[in-house]
Amino acid sequence: MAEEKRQEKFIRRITDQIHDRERANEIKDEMRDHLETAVADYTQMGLSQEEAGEKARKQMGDPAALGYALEHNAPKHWTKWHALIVLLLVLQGVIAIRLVLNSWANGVFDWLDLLIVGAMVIIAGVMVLNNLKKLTQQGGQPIMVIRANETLSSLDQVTTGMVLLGIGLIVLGTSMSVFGDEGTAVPVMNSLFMATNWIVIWTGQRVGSAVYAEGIQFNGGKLLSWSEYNSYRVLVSHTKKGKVYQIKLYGGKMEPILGVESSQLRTVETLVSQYLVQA
Amino acid sequence: MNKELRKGINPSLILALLENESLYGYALIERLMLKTGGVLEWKEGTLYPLLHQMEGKGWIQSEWQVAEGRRRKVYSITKKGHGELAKQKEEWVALQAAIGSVLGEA
Repeated sequence: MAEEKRQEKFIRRITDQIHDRERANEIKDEMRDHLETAVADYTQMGLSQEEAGEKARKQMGDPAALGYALEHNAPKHWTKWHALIVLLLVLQGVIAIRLVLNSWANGVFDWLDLLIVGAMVIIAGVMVLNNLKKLTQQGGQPIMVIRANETLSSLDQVTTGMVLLGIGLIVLGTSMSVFGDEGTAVPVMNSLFMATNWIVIWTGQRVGSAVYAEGIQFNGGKLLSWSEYNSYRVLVSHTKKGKVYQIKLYGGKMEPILGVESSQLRTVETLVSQYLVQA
Repeated sequence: MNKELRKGINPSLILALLENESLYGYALIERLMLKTGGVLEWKEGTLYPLLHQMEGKGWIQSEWQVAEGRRRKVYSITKKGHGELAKQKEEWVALQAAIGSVLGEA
């Protein structure tokens, strides 16, 4: 029973990296079949159930890294997040066009208003696209992937709150008959932009940080080369939930902080210490 | 064998192993070890992402079967995959001849 739990926990660490739930379930079944076939082979060779399970999992390497590689080699298909993002972008476009046309026809709009709305659309578009680009950057297979739930959970709560706020504003705006009253269209458009960008950022946070031989990639963002940094320090802080471990890198233009779960701390520290010295 | 060279040849090896039979991940790893006498070996972390990528490209397809009381994902080669394999085989033969003509002289 304990062995079965260990196996399921291991599989979950692989599928934690997969955004699409349906695909995650399929990967779960595929990995379970692989592990159980290997365990059956090893027990036939004379290993105990526990030893066989241990060996089969060790053979697979870091589960999060495998999950990360699977996520980035996903067959290109639309997820519900992509659909939602496109839907929100289209809605924004429709509202923006209606806003400009209606206001122009009613004579309440001048060139300055047009400039403001145009700038808003461009800034929001660049923000969304920039964050989307970060998500689609591929980095091959990392040595290890870190998903620090302790530090991310608070971030998840903030982003979820922002998304809900955005959706709330949309509903409010719609009930105030958006298309008739130009005054409410601008806040509605703003909340739509905000919601879209937060969804993009939120899905990005779930990618996790990846350790490569070349450097560290924070939450699907830019790869920070080891050569830019010269030392690191492990910081420990105490929260209501318990201890939170963080690894801070020193030396570069930015001094990023990597959140690490207690179970991952030693492995991540060993990896980082291969490239940097302890401060 | 050189790591980079080996990495590039992996898709061809998968296609070749699937040419005449459908196989699941674990069996593919075993077949490769057996056929090459352990000279070539796949880690799970290499094989599975590659299989999913190749499925995305349409070179292979998968089907769920039930074996030993659990769901098993079995891969087979597609028509497109056969074409790709033929192309990669040709490239390999040309490369082998070219390398042989240089190294063989030494």
